[in-house]
Amino acid sequence: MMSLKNKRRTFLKTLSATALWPLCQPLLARPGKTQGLKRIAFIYHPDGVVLERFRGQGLSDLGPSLAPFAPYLDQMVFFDELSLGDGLGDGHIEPARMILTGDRLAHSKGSLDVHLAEHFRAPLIHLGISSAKSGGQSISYHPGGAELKADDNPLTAYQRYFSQKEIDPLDPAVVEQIQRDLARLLEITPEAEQLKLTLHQSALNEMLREQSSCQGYDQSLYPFDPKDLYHDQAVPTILSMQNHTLFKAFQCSLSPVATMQFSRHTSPMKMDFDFLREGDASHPWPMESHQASHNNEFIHSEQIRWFHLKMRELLDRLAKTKEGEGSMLDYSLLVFVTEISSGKNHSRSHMPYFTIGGQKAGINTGITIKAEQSSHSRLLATLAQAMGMPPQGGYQNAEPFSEFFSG
Amino acid sequence: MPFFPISWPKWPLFLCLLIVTEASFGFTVSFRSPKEWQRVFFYSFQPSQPGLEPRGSFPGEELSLDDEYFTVDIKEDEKDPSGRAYFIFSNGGGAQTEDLQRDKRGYYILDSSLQGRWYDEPPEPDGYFVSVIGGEGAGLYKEGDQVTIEASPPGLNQVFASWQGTGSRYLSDPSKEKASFLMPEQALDFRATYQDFNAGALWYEEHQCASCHGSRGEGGVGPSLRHQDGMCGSCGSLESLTEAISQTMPKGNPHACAKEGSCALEVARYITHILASETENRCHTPKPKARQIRLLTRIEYENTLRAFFQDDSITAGENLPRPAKPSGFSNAAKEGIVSRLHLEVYIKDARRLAMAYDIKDLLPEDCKASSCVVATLGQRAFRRPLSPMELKDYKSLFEEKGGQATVLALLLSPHFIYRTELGQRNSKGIYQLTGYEVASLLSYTFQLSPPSLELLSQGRDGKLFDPAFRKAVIKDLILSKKGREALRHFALDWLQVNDLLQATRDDPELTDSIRKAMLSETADFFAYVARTDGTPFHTLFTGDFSFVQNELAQYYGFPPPIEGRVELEGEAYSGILSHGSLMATWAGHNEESPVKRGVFLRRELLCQSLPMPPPNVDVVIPTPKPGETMRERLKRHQESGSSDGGPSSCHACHQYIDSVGFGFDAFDETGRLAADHESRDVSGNLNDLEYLGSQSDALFANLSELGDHLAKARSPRNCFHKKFYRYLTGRLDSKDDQCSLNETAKGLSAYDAGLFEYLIQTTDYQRFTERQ
Repeated sequence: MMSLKNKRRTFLKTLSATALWPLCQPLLARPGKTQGLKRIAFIYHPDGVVLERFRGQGLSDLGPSLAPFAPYLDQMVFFDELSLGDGLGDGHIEPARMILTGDRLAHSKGSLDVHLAEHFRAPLIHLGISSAKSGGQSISYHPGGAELKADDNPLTAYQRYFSQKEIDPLDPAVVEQIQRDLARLLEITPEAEQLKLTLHQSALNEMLREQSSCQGYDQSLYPFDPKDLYHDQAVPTILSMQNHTLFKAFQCSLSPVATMQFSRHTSPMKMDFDFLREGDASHPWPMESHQASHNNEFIHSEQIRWFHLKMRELLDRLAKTKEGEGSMLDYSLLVFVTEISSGKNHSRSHMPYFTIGGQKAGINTGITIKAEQSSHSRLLATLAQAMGMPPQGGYQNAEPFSEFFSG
Repeated sequence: MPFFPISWPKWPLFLCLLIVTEASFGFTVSFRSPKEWQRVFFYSFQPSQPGLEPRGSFPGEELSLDDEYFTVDIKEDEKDPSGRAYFIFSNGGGAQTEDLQRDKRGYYILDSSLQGRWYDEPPEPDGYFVSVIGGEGAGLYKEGDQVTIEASPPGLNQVFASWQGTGSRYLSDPSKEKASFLMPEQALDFRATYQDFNAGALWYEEHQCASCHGSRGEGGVGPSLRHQDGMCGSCGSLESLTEAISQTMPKGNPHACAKEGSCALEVARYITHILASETENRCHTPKPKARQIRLLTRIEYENTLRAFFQDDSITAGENLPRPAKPSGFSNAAKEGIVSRLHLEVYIKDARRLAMAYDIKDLLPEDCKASSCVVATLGQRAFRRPLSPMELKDYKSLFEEKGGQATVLALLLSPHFIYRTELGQRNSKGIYQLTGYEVASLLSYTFQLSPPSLELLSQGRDGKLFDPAFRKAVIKDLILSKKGREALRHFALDWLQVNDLLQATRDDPELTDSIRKAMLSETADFFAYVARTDGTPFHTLFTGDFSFVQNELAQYYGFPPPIEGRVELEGEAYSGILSHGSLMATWAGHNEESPVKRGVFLRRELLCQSLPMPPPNVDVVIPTPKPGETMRERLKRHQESGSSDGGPSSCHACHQYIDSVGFGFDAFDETGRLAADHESRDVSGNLNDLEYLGSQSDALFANLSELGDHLAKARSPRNCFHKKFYRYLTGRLDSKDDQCSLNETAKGLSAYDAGLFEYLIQTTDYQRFTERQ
């Protein structure tokens, strides 16, 4: 367990950025394309996919791996023939570094998730599942090239974001009076001084938002023992907990940016999960993702299907939570990535990338964009634009896909 | 007889420290924080051993700035078996580095976006340094950059003359206060120089020229001296005006001025350079200050809660974030912003106090009706009567939710947390402060407390708009117990010695208790000078007495028993200049620092602007050679920065710093007289005392003589005047403030001007009660 002192440390680490983030929210309302997109999450799984069991030619032709997302087809955007660089070796390491950084060796310029967090002066909600046991396999990088490790421990990750929410809610009548006084004072305060009161209001609103909806979640729902952190059988529970943390962090506006790194490429994590066994008990379980990708297409695709089914938990929560004229999913964008396309032959010309969400936030959902072998840097530039941030780093000069934006 | 403190010879101690350092410390890490960080903390941990926190719980130990870097000695028990240490630097207010690790000496540079980088050696600057003495614009620039420098506003009765220094040749017109140039491929230094006409101003006042020509040359019985009135056009040349004054002035007593040396010439210069250029628009109708709201400082907040609950034992706001102090004072209006951390403290305090006190005990016996309860508590919280709308709202709250909820809402209301200078707009479009706002302004300035009922009623009746009445009120405020406390707080902010409580000093005898006693000595001394009628301002620099507690007296080595006022003899003592608080604050961790003391005197006591050292300069003074004095070490250090053995680039600033700082050398970093103080050379030169660039010398043989120079000069009085104005208004002064500053400067213009009398008239300027 993390000590109380460490809780304090991790809390403070996010505090200053968190305090500023609400002020930055108006920046997201960029004129034109994606007015209203409030948050983005990058969802990674390792070792590519089985392309034949991923999706067919038509938009609605979802293969077994994608079947769990069928209810959200109208929120999805696919990218056909998207390439992840060229001239690379056969390994996983370099492509994994490129996923969010753009060109080869561009990890020294930082990854899109880190850039976005810096842009919004917000913490990166950075969650992992068995992702950080060794180096060189993360998808997130600081400018300068330092690898950024996701937090694999769902308890410390939870504490990082929710540990200091101890203040009892104020009586709504008291809050109402304070807000009334603030509003009246604001009316008679000269423009040059209004920022003080605006910041005061923001701090109060932030606190109230947390008090009303940001109490984290009930961890007793998840029977997790910290000593099982890197035990394969704990993975389903950890993934559920990290999903829940990500959702609550978004709901509480702790940050507009998150990255969920499920395992890492060529991980020794064995997928000996109940669900998978139920799929076909005759198959030689347990099996690692990388092993399956080269030796057993069915198991590999089932592993991905299982992962997507777990991610449905997050999608369902977002879709069921009201926001604006729709749901949180309508104003959120989930971006699914991996480092290679076909896990079997390590190809990188048909990257199985897709997004879900953002339907009411200026995203042209329910379409397939023909990338025509263009670099995935274009996707990164597109996502940067969607969030109202100028492209930078390894995707600085890439042209965004204009079809991605509605209107 | 002079007092001699107990002190040990220093070199054996130094040797011991050196040995311990080599034996126990693995390596050091140096940290350069973003410039906006006010404080830096160091937290150490071991990922493999949760709970092991060698520097205490987060944020750990507070560090002191050692010139450019905050440097930490990594202890042996902070390293893991591979020799690696894990740590975090933070500002104690939410901003921090990532988890850092290091196994050898290094320099970590963190920028404002919290991006950091390690260097094995101090990084070379990316560009060339521009040094600006007496102005803004110093910094690192790349070749070809457009650089803009701007001189600080001139002091009282001064005008900008020109830019001097190695950079002046790059300016198309060095006589412009604001100038731009393209950065060449070399470092440059600039020095703003001013012409000073205060001597003439003093003669003008002394010979009562103002009685005919007006205090600012506007005319009266005699003609105006201003160009705009067409009068000084007939003044002729400086020579002819000097001659005319010599022969005919003052009226009725001709030649009186001429008898006094350069009187006629100085008055003529004052008239032609200062008074002749005065305009009606500038100082007869100065612009009101901007309307503003001011967040209560921690002590103001605590005092306001005490007043609300009528209990002086209340403590509150202890965990409020420390405020930024661009003006030197914690009440800076612009920086008073409520953050999430503020709110947490406010809510916690309000809840605790609302529960602890029975609302009935806070009210008169006959005040039971909800309207009375709300009106009484509301006025106490907001320092004014509630508006009808507020009365209605709070009355509803009280009736629906009860007393505790009402108190909570009042204490968390912005009307409680801020004091306002918003006013009400009059027919001329100017905002006249309300009488209640004036009452608060006076009370918080001179008592750090909310106005009493009596003061509020005086505000309500409009009496506080009368300058004479206001003076009487301020006098009473200053002489009250709260007034004394307010002045004590002011003194410590003014002298910036509060940091002593957190400063790292090696001497274990400099305990927290001694440090507090040192601050108390300075606060008591200032409060005495400021509250004692007829005590000249210069007593602050020349006073041969102090106020010490017994523990501090023993620490200083004063013969016991001593408690309270103590008379001091000897050349080493001179008012606050020899106070332990100043000497220990402006020092290194294990030795005195003439540089820090010199910079302190120039910046804080004379308001002379000196830039920070360039980032590529090695600011560590070399280790002493056997028998080498600090003076010799500094000389060697500066020469090492010169390629030809002549004056190095350091000289541009250090010509004003070191020689002054040597005057304090009798005192070591512990704030006591050094054991060998009698053999130390404490002579120096307080050159350019009135303003940088005046090319004047003020030689002194000891601290007492240095104090005498300060006593006789105008610049310390003008500087203090400017500082108090910043404290009063909560903002940095600008050119627009010159007229208001001029109006009240006369209170300190004379050599023997009393501080008490000065403070009483500090609000006596036009438009004090107006805003725009």
